[in-house]
Amino acid sequence: MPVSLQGLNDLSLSALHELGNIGAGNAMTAFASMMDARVNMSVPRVGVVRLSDFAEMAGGPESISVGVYMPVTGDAPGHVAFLWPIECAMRLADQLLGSAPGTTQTLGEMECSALVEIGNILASSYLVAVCEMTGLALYSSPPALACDMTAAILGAVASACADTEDEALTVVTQIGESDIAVECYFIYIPEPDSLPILLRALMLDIE
Amino acid sequence: MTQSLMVGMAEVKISRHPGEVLIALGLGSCIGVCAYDPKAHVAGLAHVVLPDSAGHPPSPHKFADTAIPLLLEAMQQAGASPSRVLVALTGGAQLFTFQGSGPRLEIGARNAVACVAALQARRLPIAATDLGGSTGRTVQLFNDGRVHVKTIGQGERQLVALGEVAKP
Repeated sequence: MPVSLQGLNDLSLSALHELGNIGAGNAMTAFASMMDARVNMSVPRVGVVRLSDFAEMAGGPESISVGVYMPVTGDAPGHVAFLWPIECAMRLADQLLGSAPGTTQTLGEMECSALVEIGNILASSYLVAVCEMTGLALYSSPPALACDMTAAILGAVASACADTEDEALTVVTQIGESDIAVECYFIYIPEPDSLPILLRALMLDIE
Repeated sequence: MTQSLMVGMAEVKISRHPGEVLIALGLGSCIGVCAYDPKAHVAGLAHVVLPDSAGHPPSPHKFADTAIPLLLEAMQQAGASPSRVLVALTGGAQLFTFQGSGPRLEIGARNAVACVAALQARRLPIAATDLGGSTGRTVQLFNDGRVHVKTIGQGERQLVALGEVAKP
């Protein structure tokens, strides 16, 4: 039976929060080893929000963001997306390409390709953690990138998850070393049919 | 003083008063269906997310085939006459580019086709369109029928003044 995120009890919700925390932690570890740097990560803020309200959290509907989206297939299908405010994406591109901070002023093919790759790695690491915790097999599909108004990106993600009620389990993390802070929004949207599968795998009753 | 009425995803809103403006922020693959009755000065905006309601849980304002009849109904209740209503369509972009894979998520284009079909089925003339492409749009529909479209690259421009279009 499909379950909506809003209909979950506290125990289920905190289990999903934990899933988000561990996933994000795993993703940041991968990020740190890839950057060969120590990365500080703020305690992720995890919550269930409507996608349409999420734009407010992420800088406002008309703010410019870079989004990486990928569908998740396997035992519990869903959707994963990353969102970086544009200035964070540029700082991240500087770091990834080994340029001095402030070098990237526009996102060309090279910068976008680097961001898609980091998005791919972050999402895959996140999913690996979810798989380990639940024993489910989940696979990420090739990612897609967009740089546009935050609301437009979220709308495109929402239309990809047609049957969900526009709600998302979101993990907001801040990663960075010293003065280079990069804010990164992680969005994980299980399909309605996948939620009970996830919760059952965590050995929780769905009621 | 303009009064902004925000139209979120899967919402339909109506404006009856001068000085009001209906706004859909950041349309990506979604479509902003802007409808206007120039005589009654009734404006309506539907923020359509998906093309076809078949096989989905009920959410009538989300889908082109069900949202457009509801938009028309709401405008009629506000005093508009279907025979006078003119429409402008914006949005339907494909934001995400997939690397090395075929066309995916062509929801924007399918949304556009579904909206045009739903409008034609009700003989509602489409006076202007700004559809497709790969950029998000913010659309504003003023109570005098002006439709403004804003993109990140090109700023804000007027697409059409629905109050000044002669009905074909």
